[in-house]
Amino acid sequence: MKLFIKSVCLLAAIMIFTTIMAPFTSAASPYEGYNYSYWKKSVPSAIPYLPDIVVDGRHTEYGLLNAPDDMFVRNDKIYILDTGNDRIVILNQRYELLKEIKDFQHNAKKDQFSKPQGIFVTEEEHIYVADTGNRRIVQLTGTGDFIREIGPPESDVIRKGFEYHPVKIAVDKAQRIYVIGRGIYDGIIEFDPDGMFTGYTGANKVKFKPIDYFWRLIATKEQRAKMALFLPIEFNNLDLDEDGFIYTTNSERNTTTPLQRLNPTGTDVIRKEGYHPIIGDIQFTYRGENAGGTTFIDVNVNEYGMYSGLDLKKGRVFTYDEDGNLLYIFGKIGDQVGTFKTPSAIERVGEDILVLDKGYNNLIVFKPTEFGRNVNEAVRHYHLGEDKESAAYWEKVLRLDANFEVAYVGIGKARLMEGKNKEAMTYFKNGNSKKYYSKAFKRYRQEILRENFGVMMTTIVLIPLLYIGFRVYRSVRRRRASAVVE
Amino acid sequence: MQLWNELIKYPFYVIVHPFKGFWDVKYEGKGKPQIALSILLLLTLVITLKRQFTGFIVNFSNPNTLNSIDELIFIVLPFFLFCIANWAITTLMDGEGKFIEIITVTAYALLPMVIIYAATTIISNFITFEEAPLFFLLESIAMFWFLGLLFVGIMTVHQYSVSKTIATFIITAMVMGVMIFLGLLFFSLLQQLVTFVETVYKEIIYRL
Repeated sequence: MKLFIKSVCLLAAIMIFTTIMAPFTSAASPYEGYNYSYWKKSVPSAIPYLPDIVVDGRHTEYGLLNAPDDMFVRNDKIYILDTGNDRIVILNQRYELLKEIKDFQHNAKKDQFSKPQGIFVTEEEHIYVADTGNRRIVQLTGTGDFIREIGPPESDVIRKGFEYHPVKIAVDKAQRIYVIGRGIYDGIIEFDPDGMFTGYTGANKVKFKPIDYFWRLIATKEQRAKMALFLPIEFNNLDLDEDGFIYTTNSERNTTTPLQRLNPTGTDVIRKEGYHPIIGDIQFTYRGENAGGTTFIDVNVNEYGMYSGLDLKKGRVFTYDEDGNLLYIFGKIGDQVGTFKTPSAIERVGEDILVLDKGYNNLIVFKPTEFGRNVNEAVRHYHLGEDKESAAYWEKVLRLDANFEVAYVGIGKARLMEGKNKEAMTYFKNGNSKKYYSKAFKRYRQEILRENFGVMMTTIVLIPLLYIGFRVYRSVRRRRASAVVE
Repeated sequence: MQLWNELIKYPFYVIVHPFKGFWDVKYEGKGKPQIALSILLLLTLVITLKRQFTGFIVNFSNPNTLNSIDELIFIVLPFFLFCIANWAITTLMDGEGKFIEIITVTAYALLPMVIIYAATTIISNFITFEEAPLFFLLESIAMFWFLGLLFVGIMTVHQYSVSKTIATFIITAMVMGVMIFLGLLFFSLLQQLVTFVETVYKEIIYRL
């Protein structure tokens, strides 16, 4: 009896101890990890990023943020455009205040922003602000000194009734300035380095369905006047990658190209080698409160071609590699730490992902988990052409999430490089990549044929020879037999 | 040997000599309904195997949703639907074919599909992406061969002209649609009836 009580006590002690000591890893995530399989089904996945800290200006020298609309990260400095307070807050890597820009000297007078919505910082740390309320672009030095302002574009090609409300801005390495205006569907407004308007770039094509055309044909003039115009969609945000290509987002409903990568001539050249179109969520309801797919509000591209789109409606971040493979999804609309109300901008500091929330007036810093870090490393090594290192990271990823099809293909590619064709085939089959499976299979087939060439040729030559020999033998015997009879 | 010639070799003779072959099916009594049904079952088997064992490169079926019973339903059901619809139509349109003959002819016409699908299933395991068009070519040859045989078969069995056969085919398709519609209607009404009786019964039980 005593022994029994003792062992029960010990068991209880062990149980309490292990419960206390168990790490709170899974419980800490406010959202579910999922991804889409080759068969377009959402499957559980590991959590790639977890919220780390929330920056909202509480108990700091710069005070609370108010409806911040945009931010930019350059040289590990975080520039938050605090729209509601008409100011720029510059933070360092540890999210401590470096500088606050509230006003600047313009023509010996004090000048201010008015509800600015877009910010960009060049490599020389010049700050460009899309000063929406004042309908101008303002260029400042990194210390907040005024350099110049650029007013509305002036040209013959601008249509009548053109209202200039610059909302987002980007500046490429050649100092060309790209501006997205609210309600402007002609494309991205482009200024040359001197601030002269040079034209629109990347205009979206007008799309309409044949059935709409049919209705338009049979409608009367009055009816036609009341119909919605076929207007091209307008962009709502942009980012530049290392090579100067423009990544844009647009909020057209049911579009197949909500994320675009525009080359200098304005054509979409985004790579679509992934399993699914780059539209964020693939499965969604068409009716009800949460109807509709993903609406991208911002995009961020990093130095190895990985880009993340921020979903306004469901508060999700979709990350793709440069080939267009959906890598991971995280985020949610909600009221826990790490969920959003009205997400407005996304940026990266190294491997950390920052999401600015206009609704909750804060900035959330997401740190990669072991899974997220391994995926990022694998993608980075693949981008650098180091297949073997990439495969090593993909193997780590698979240990954490065996559903991760992209990882199988990644390992398969490395095996194919090493000449292990049979092994590569297995990986490509697991990764559901018919294209690469075919490549591996072709080499494997050649290998087999080459190895067994001798045997096969021998059989091909021998079988007819044997057959002919048999026939000759038989006819000779028959002839002899008949000769005997005669 | 006689049996072998009659039963096994004859279907193969028919698919390469359809006019003479189907004529003999009708007037010389060479077609056997047992053989016809065997061909049908063989096709089901081949298509089920094809779904599962076609080479990865040209296999687009989701292994999670494969179901052999479904294959049976999607082959055997349309087969009999076609035969019944065709029989129903041709009796009204002076067709000379009997129901058994229609079944025999339709099933014999399926034989090229059995052979070619079996072959492509094996071939597909040894081809690459670049050779895939060959695979799809063979698949479509099987389809067109079947359609051609079916056309000749129905024409011979009913002693129709070409234009009348085409018309019969169109009407048969429509009748198949009507039959499916009536079937769905019947089952849906039956379901509602059952629910009604069930509800009334429950209502009575609760109140007693």
